[in-house]
Amino acid sequence: MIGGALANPCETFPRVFARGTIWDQYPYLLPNLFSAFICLIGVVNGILFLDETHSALKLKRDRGRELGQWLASKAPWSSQLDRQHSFDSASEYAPLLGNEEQLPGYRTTENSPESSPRLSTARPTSEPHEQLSLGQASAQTDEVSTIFTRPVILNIVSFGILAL
Amino acid sequence: MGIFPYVYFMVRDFHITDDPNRIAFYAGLVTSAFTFAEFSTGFLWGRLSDRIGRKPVILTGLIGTALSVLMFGFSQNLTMALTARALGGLLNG
Repeated sequence: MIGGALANPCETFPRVFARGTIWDQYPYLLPNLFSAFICLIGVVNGILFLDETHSALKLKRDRGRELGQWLASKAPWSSQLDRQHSFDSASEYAPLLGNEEQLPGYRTTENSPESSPRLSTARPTSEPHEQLSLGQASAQTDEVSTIFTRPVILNIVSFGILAL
Repeated sequence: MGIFPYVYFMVRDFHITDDPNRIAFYAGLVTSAFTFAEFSTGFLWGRLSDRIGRKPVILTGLIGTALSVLMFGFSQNLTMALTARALGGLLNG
């Protein structure tokens, strides 16, 4: 869609892209330039903030990631992001269809072990079965809200943008 | 995927032939060059990423895609367009 909108800019946007310039010589340059720009943004983002997931090579020193962490510490809103990041990383690995004990962990802002969701799921597993049999409707809405975690929503949005 | 809206007009502007059927044939050739090259090399990228890690392969794939897409934008004839798309598929990872 964006490709079609940006192709041949000398005809579709005659005021912004004048005749006789590079846009006239290469009429299909603009959408490809836009795509290349988005790719380069992704490259910079990936160098700074992408973690290695290969299990054997994960422990290798990552200079790009160190630069990203240094940049994040310099940002003025970094203290709020730190709390968000610890909550996000816990929510990524915590079980989705978890028990009710996860919710207090989301609400607190401290990093104490008592409120950590990972430790709270170490309780006996008989409690989720009781909850499912008692309140099916409330359990379902909780499942829906716990399925759409922040990484999942970001993935959905990025695939939607890719379709453009 | 992103070039579907204008690839026919691009091939028509190359002035290879006047027959619309032939133009459509070349447009399909350009589009499928990307996927065919990706099909040929995707497995190799996966094996390479097992050796040197996921992150370098992902980043080189992105850089390669950006360069090939830029080359496709600057192409003036069919050969260059085909090469750019094939290179893009090759480097996409």
